[in-house]
Amino acid sequence: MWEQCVRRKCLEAVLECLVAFGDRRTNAVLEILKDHTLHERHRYPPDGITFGGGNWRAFYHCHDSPRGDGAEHGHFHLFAVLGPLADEWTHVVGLSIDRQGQPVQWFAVNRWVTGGPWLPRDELVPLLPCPDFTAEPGLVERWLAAMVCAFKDDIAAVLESRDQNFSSRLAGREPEEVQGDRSLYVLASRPVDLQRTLENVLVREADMPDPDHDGSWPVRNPETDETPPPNP
Amino acid sequence: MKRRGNRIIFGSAIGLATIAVAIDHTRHSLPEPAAVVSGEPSETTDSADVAESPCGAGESPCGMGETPCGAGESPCSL
Repeated sequence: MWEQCVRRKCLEAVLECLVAFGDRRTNAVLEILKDHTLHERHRYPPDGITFGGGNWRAFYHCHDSPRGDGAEHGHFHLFAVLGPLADEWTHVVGLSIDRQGQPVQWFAVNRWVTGGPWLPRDELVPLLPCPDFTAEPGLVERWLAAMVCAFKDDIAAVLESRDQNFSSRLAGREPEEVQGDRSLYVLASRPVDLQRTLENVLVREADMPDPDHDGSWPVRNPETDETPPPNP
Repeated sequence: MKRRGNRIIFGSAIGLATIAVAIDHTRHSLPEPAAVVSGEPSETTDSADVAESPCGAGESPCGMGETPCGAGESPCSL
């Protein structure tokens, strides 16, 4: 029930961001690209986006998809910091965006695509943020943080599929060889239906009783009476 | 009671319509990538690299490297 409440709060934040984007006649990608001319394989913004209390970074770019998915315009790559010195980042998940600026798919790629450390699903999932959205510096940051939090289970499922797909291809090969196999690009993916998710959680599940939550944020866990820190 | 009041707002058709309109108002066509003019600095890989992999041989096209898509780097790296 507490997890459901957290997810609901995240999706409410997503909806608030959508309303704010709509008021500005924009979306997350257009907001990032507004000061730039789009070129393939360039990163936007050039210095990346930092969110989740500084523990996450992301950028958007577009290039020919080896999946031959003509519906995609580009995608975000999301990275989580490793270690207290914040000098190493691991790719967690990608978010594919269609030509209307809508999220369509979470995906996980092989290690050679992004470089950096390769962590299994069980080590990545605890890094998924559920921060205090009011602390995010901008609308895009807030949207990304809320999306990652709201779709935490989907991201975990993508990472599990990634690991299973990866393991199935070992078959006598060293892990490093499989990680560097350029015939393996996307290892797992999961579609995003944002409208249906918002409807199901914010409207159709809205009548579910939740007597332990008083509407405050961050959400207090009724079982432990603890309020978690903004980031794990 | 305050939270119940908030729930009522998301109660039924109003909530569904709010969501649909909110999403619809964010649907805007994204720009197509500009053509790279010959002679301009480009961070795309050359044709030989593209032939080997979609994002350049010897690179990680989607990593967090300091320079995107540079030779010997990870183009998709930070």
